[in-house]
Amino acid sequence: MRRVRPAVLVLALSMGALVGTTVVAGATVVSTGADRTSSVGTRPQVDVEPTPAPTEAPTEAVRELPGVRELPLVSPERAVPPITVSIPAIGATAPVVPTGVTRDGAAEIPEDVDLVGWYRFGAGPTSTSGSTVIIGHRDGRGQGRGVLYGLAGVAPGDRVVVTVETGDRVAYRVVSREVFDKQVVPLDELFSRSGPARLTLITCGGAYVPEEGGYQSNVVVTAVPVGASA
Amino acid sequence: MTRRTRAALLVAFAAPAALVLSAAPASAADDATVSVLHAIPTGSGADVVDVYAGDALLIDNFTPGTLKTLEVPAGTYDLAVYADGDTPDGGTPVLEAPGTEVPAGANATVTANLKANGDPTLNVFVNDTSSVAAGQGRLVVRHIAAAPAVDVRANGDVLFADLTNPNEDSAEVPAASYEADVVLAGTDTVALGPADVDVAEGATTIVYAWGSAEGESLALATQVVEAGAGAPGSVPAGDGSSVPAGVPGWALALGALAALGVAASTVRIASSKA
Repeated sequence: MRRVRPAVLVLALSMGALVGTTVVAGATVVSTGADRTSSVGTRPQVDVEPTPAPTEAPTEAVRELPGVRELPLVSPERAVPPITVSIPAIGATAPVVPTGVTRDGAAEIPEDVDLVGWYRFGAGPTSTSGSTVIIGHRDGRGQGRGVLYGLAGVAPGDRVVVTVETGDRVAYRVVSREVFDKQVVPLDELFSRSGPARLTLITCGGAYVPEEGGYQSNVVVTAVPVGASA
Repeated sequence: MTRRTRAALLVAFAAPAALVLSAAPASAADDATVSVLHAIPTGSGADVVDVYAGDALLIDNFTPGTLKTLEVPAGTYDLAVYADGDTPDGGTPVLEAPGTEVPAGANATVTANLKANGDPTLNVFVNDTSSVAAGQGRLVVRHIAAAPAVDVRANGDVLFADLTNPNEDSAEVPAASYEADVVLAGTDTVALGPADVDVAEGATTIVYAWGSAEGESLALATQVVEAGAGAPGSVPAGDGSSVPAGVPGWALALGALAALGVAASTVRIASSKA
């Protein structure tokens, strides 16, 4: 019974409006009924009969101006974090940890070259759109070669399998392998949160020129979910 | 509605950050997104109100601490708030904002709130939906409470100083959860909080300090508006430690050229990417 009380209270308050002029979908309606809430919102058609006392609770928002609609409260889609990635063609399997950006705005990458990082501000493997970005170091001092060292050897058609936190597996088919000079690597596109769902694997490559900031290129592998047309 | 109002306010007192409101953006190009926040505390003569645009009802039975987000056609609106039961036909509005311009694509929040002196008023704030840098979120604080000037602290440090009703302040900060509190300006006297405020990446998180200091009804309400974020500036994924020592740079560069050649000849199967 507690639940109905607020509605009853509201109705009692609105009984005070004996004659009300309201606009329903652009048409002016004179309601001679006891309650204006009965002639709007819940019944969009024009009502010419005197309206009887209402029996239903008033709606929360009445949309009377043409083109007005209430936007639902939404929670942003939360990407499901990947926990492992496997690229059988190059014998690479690695745990995945969530990463973000460094203080200077670069992509954050796990120090441990046996781990790869998932860009947690972007899409996840089960997201319906956007790029799921997984990044690993090519190498690390004192650690040797990183798990994505061989990424440049991946070819279109190769499989990549990612497992996510919920235990689901998402299988991908590689559609491109590219080497971009770091001056022109299309980061906005690689990290885009829109467009088709896809997996973007990134590491370093190209010439290593210490006096020019180290590796001059990024190796980028793009894969699409198996079953997706691409 | 009385019971629900109480419940909402109790929540607001106990855990201010729990009142998080967020809505999908307006879709059509000629539309605008207008949110309305009822921030006049219970017992100030506006416990249940109806919001009108001209003689058309926009929001029915609106109660303190609630926010509605509407997609509306661009245009000029005569906004008015009536006590529940009163109408533009013969009634006198509690509050009005005639000639409120809502341009296409705009995102704004109209607040019904108390002035610093406790009188009810309407304010219109424009919500910044411009994108932020990767990893960042935009935090906006709006002072719409019957209260003096305040400082807003995040994790103990003053982020916004000397904020007064009806003003706002804004900063881009790393996306994270912050312990926020509101203190009387220039003091350590806590007026509100602490409360956990989640600043989402790529969004504008708006925190409203509303209510009345004298009425002991100060509370926080939070609204989240999508903004978008850029990409990281670089991917520094290696330190060259696997490169054999003593190999001349030109040899490596030749190798890189070969790799690029291979890459260029790779047939790109994907027709397009966003």
